Amino acid sequence: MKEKFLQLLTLCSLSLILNACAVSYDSVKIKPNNSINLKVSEPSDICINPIKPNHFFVASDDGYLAEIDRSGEVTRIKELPIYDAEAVYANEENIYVVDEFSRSITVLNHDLEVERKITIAYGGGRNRSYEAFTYNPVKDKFILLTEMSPIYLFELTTDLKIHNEINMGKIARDISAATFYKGKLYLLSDEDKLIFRLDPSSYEVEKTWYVPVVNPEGMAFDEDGHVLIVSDDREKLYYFNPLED
Amino acid sequence: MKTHQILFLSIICCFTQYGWSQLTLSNGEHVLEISGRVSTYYNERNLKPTNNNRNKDRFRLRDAQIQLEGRIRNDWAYELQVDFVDLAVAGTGDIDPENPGLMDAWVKYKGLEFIEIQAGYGKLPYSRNSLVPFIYSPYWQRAQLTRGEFFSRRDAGLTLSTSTWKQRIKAYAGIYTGLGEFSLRGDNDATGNLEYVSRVEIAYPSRYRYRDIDYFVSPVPMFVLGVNGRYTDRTLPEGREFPEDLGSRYGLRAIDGERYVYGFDLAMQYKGFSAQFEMHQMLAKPANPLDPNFLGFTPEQTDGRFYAGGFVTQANYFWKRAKSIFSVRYEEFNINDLSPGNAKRFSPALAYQFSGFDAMLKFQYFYIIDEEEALDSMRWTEQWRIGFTLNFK
Repeated sequence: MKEKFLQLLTLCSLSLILNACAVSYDSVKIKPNNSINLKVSEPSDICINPIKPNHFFVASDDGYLAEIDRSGEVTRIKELPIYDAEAVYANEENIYVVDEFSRSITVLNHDLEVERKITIAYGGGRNRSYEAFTYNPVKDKFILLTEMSPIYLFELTTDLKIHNEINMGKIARDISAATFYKGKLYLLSDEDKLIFRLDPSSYEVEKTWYVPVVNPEGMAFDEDGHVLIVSDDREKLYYFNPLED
Repeated sequence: MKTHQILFLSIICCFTQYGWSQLTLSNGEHVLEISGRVSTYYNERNLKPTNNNRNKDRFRLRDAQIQLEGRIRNDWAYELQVDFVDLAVAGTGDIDPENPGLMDAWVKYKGLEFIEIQAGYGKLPYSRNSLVPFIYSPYWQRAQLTRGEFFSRRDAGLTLSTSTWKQRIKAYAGIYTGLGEFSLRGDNDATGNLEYVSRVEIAYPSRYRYRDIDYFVSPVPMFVLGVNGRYTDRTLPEGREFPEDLGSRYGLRAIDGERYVYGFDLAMQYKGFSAQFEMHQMLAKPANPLDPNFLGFTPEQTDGRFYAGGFVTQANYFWKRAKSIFSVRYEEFNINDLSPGNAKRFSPALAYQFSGFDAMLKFQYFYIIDEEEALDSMRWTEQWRIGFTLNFK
């Protein structure tokens, strides 16, 4: 019996070696310098409000959009005809809220009125669908990512039509948020707790940071370059110092 | 192990690197998700010297499941899960409580603000170990204490549930047939009585999912404590008997009289390490002084009651870079306190993840340290299982 046991262990070890092709990164650990409790249930993403840069939009898993100030106080709230908001992005004209459940993007104006809603069909798992959304000015494309199994990066035209798709499954176990800051694309992984900085043209990973936060689901940069991370399970907003090269 | 066997398994391992799909149908308000799993293993046992029955040295198809999971807006949820392997076995009249053919068939209404109502057939809110979905386990079998021989794991009935404090506190209460997996046969037993089950758990610093493995490598220590209890009075009318096999292997699941089961569980996880501890005790008050569970003792000797139960503890480490899970489990249980001795079992497990929990090579070793020989004499002393599991989701 012992001999067979050892043989099996050898087999398992061989399998480990044969299949150890996961990409691993040397990441820099960063620590939050402040955190505040959010009065938004199950916050799943955050983005800066470009009209009022000291305010942020937060998407809730419960299907609504909240605007908060830097202290986390809710200044506006908008119930939406969706069920599981997972991503939010705002420019000076519109706010875009992505619903994982219905695979849709709801477009609002800054008075929080719904202007249109677009469904982008996707056959992946109910809870493994669209999770991250932002705009890539380098390519003049919106970026829409699925969460996992696999991680797809869809490039969308400015009228929200799919232009290109790229499998990003090698970079992380999942992707939970995306944002663009100072010429770089940033992705956040909930399961790996990593921030990835990508070249916005090639989507090659340039650098990673480890974020010691439970269930990090959303990420944004404020005007001063501080990193804002929202934790879904803890319903908290964490502030980090600007990322260093 | 022959070279060609190693090569064969390695080829399987390599192919499973590549993607899988899941079919999800949606009309915007109603999403239906179709998933499933197949798992198979090889089992080999070391028998006691007096036994020459080697029928457990075998390949076995453990799971061949299809799961339909639906959500209608945020108001309704439903699930139907079937295991074709166990359906085939159940057709012979033999129901394994850990692997019944029908695993879930329920509808849940989520439209009320503070409470969710679930009706149908599914898992009971009792025992954390039982509530952890098996697809997230490195093991091939749950602990003996929690796999359904001491108390049922599934039943038909009604469950109310609620949560508060950012889902850190969860509470469940339900009413069920009390027949467990045998409720699928239709009729109640001759008592016509029901079983009542409740559970409360509190987690800190955030909600704690039903998982044994710290797959997300928690950056802060996380804890959860659960307490649960259940009660049924199945005193049979004179001259009536329970349906065949209702008591299951140890005869504990159907007591002709009152039965209380209560217990608690504690789990923690931090930086890939995780551990669980769980304890259960059953207090049975058979109505008939000649009930076989009294083992021939007089009412004066037993005070009209007997106890069963035990504990199970498990420690795990998820080595993310190696995509591997290492677990050890120890359990001790007593089938009847009127009989001397406790059963003690030890079981380590190793799982290698090709794609998270969706594709794993799993190895489990079982070792029986001690047994309650008078009530449950085993014909083997140790065994191991190795096999592969694939979730198509």
